[in-house]
Amino acid sequence: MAESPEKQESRPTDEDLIERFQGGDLYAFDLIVKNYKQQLLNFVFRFLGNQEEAEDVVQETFLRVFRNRSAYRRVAKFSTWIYTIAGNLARTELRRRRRRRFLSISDMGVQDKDYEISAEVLNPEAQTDGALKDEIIQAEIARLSPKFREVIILRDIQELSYEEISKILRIPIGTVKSRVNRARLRLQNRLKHLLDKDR
Amino acid sequence: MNSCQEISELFSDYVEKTLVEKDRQAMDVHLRACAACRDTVGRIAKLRHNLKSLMALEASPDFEMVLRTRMRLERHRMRPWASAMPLSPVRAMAFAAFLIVLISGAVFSYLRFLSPGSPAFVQTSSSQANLSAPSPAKAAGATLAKSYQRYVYALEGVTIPDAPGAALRISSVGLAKYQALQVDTSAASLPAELDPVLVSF
Repeated sequence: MAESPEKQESRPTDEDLIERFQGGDLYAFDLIVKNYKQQLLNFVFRFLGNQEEAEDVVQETFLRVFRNRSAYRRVAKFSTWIYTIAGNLARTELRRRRRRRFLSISDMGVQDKDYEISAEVLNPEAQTDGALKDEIIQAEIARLSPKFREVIILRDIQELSYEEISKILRIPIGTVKSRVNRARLRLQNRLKHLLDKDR
Repeated sequence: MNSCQEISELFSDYVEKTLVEKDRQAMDVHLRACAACRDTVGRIAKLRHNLKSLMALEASPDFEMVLRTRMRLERHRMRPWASAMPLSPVRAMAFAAFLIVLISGAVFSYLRFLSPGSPAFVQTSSSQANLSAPSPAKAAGATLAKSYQRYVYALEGVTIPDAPGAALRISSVGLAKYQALQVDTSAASLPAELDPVLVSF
């Protein structure tokens, strides 16, 4: 999905791109994919904790945009729209995974293996400090309930505004702020050992 | 002084510097006196920094290729003809050539159909029609299991009888043609040259 030099210079907004795509410009859709692929992938990956599933969800997100392009209206920010689609699909994937896990619970034993930290992660020689820290943080994000997980990812990793998060999740700003605060309190408590080392 | 529980609800606003002045001053007072809350606020600030610095995930090399394939399938599903024939001149010409061949074939088949001895199809109305004609199907000992199966015969509009010996029924469409060939319409069997040649619809 290469970008031509003349298109790079004009730097259209996301809203311009989706309008062009609604008018039949497929190149505009390529640019949308280029602009959002990485950030959506990170958002969904941090939410699901699995790259393969995250890529599948992000692809499905782009397909939904492709299929339902006429449903977008300029009254909303395009980023809000596409994040809402990705978030809904990620939550659906999470529910599907839980059903699968429920059905195969007898095979998994008493402990929930998704929440275990692998021996490789705990071995400092196996990975660099940065990668190890990332994995520990990711494991703790995964332990949060989905409603706390999604707000902290959107706020502290994706760095979206409270207002935009409120629109994406369709909940009041006050609720978003309260959830972010509680998610941070839980994470800092569980990551005490890691964060205190940073002093 | 506010309790630690109450004050903890403002930690995020404090680290993001969005507290109103009055609340910020109250927080400062509390934090000077409470080491536990001070530590918590410090950890939240570090946590935010760590979350922002998490490594970005790289998409798989085939991400866009897979997406394009899925989009192509999607386009085909939504608009099969438009997807199969985008408006490129070369493809448009290829499509036109294909149409010409198709129409020519149809015209040729129709002209052949009008000539004596032309192929046409016949349909049975029986669930267990027994082909009494000396057909390949009968020679192989095959019987019909489903009703309304269709066969291609050398004549159009002929209905295979339910039982051996029953008269062949001919549709009004095929009657003139049948009579023109002077075939015995009351015969229980078809002439050998009218054997079925196709058994799938």
